[in-house]
Amino acid sequence: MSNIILFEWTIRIASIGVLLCSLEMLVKRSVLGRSGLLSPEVAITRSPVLMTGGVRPALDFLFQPRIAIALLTLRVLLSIAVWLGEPSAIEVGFLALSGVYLSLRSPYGLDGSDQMTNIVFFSCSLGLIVGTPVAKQIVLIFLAAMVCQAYFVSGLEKLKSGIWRSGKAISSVALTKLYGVRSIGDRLTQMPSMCLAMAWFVILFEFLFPFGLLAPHPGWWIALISAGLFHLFAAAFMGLNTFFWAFLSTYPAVIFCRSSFGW
Amino acid sequence: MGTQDWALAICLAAFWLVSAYCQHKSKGERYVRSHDPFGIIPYWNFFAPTPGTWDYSLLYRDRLATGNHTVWREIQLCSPRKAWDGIWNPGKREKKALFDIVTSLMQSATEVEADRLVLTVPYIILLDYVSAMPRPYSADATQFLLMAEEPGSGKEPFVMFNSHEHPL
Repeated sequence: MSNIILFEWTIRIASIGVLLCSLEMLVKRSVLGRSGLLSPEVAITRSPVLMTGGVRPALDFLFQPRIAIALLTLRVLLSIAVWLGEPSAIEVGFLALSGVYLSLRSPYGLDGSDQMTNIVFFSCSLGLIVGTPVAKQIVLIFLAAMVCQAYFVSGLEKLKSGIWRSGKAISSVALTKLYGVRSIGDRLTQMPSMCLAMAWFVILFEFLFPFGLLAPHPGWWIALISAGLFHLFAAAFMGLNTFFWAFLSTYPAVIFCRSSFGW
Repeated sequence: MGTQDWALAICLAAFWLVSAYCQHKSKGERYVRSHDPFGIIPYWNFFAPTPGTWDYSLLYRDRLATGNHTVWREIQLCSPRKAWDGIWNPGKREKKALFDIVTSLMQSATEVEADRLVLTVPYIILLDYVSAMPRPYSADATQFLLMAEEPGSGKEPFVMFNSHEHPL
């Protein structure tokens, strides 16, 4: 597959996550309003930079709920638009800036999928602004390196953690209301060997992901499929639906690097 | 490669290196993150080294004009997991926000003096949120409470934090 096609697929897959995330926020838009948990009125005071001179009045205007809702609606439309034709620098740039806008408006409730999505759109918009085929290749290499960093760091942190190495992290998280399902958590608690196997699957696939990409065929496909299965599992059982799309969007970059520099 | 391609490569490589540097907690990492109000530099330590194994509950009660208090009422944010949450999960952001705010409040409690905690961002956000909840007309002050429970530990839920009473 050509780097142009893989570059466009990166944007399109990430846009599915943006579509879902934006629609979810629009459905729950009361959280964006005054006294909502994602209200910017108090959150803005967290940083002196945001409170200085002309910045504060500008942000007070930009952070109004009706502007946030308008931007979310535009994000929905643009995440559909990138499927209808060749994604433009303006479309992708807007998706990047509006993602940062939401992070700036309130830092609470964000997760790694928001960060990865912002990185994907920022780097892709820079690639589109430069506009050369080489620039798109550079962006794909960067995204492949970024997803390797993400998995490696996450795997390393888990490897250092006793609760992960013992497998207890799996049942403990599965029991929580935020990321778990009580009935599954109860069942997993009765199956420590299963938890141990699942924990080590996560640790090893994350930690070894960058090395897997250097492995001969079919090693790197196994690394990629393991990662995809992990995100499918996290979406189905933990409700982390946007993680799946955010990380899946970087896989075309991995395929590009592998096919360009692999053996 | 043209000049613009080189500039792009250098920018992205620099970002990758800064991100890699900031994955390890240090003075330098805190300094860099304190200059990143956009939150662009990622955290990649998903659920590690210690995953969130606690459930938090937010409750509030009001003081009435008579001086009596209402019963504690829980604000229900966590609905049971639904089969389609893996595709469509609009409630997750609010639940995660509460988790982040509670974590941030507990962090602040270890860093600032008790009488200054009421001035911290997470405390004011929770107070603001609770103040907007439905309540009796005669209520003149409100108070919130955070309970914590570690499911599967066999331990009873306990009161983690009790706010002051604040006039409405």
